[in-house]
Amino acid sequence: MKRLLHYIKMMIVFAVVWVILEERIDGTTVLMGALIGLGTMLVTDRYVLRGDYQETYRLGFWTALRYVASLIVQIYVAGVQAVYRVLTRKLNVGIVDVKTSLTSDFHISLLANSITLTPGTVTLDRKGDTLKVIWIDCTTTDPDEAGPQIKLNFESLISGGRS
Amino acid sequence: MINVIAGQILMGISLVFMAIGIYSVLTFHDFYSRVVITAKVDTVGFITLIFGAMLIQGFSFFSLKLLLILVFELLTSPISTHSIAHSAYTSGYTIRKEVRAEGSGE
Repeated sequence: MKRLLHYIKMMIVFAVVWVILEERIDGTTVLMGALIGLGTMLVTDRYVLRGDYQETYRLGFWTALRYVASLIVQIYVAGVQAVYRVLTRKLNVGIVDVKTSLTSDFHISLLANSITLTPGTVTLDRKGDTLKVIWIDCTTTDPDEAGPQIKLNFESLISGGRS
Repeated sequence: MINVIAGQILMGISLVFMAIGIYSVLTFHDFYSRVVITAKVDTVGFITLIFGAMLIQGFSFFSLKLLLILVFELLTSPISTHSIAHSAYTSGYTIRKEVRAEGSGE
């Protein structure tokens, strides 16, 4: 039952993408998109991703929306800061460990991606719940002090709502 | 008319961002600082470019396609940066201090 609901939701998404790519809205195009989406999902379930991945890659709609909005703001802050650092040549690169309180792999990978996109940091490596991060303005190597400055509020944004 | 001008201004800003990114790749010596700077500047330039093109085109299938491209870029860009930095880290690159050398850029 749950699987069927997931299929129907994903078929709507696939149909929307298909309509955008075809640049035409009529019954045939929507039906074609939904059917191709269904075929794709069946092949994926059968040969590529075995097991229940639907629950693993779940993010609430509003959580995702707030996350993306905050991400774009942070990307712009990052860009302006990077330009400032290039022009003044103020660089103090270091590598720090950051501990995260998130548990699921999907959430940790989202956090690592957002760290890569936000001001002055790129994720290098992950061991358990510890992320290795290059930091362009490395003032401290203490994980507890560096953590909040690097993670910003993404941890609560990602796990916020129904996680 | 106003949206075309605003879109062209946005595209101009994005070109400035990308030019600064290329300048940083050419002038910095340390691998890690290059990676960190280009990862940011590239993404900002790309997002601004896409927004500018969407403003010029208005709401249509074309700008929806651009939105799809933007989502794809946001998903893949940090992963490519991460894999480049990760492979450098595992093959043992260390951090070099930036030297303020004049005339070494030639």
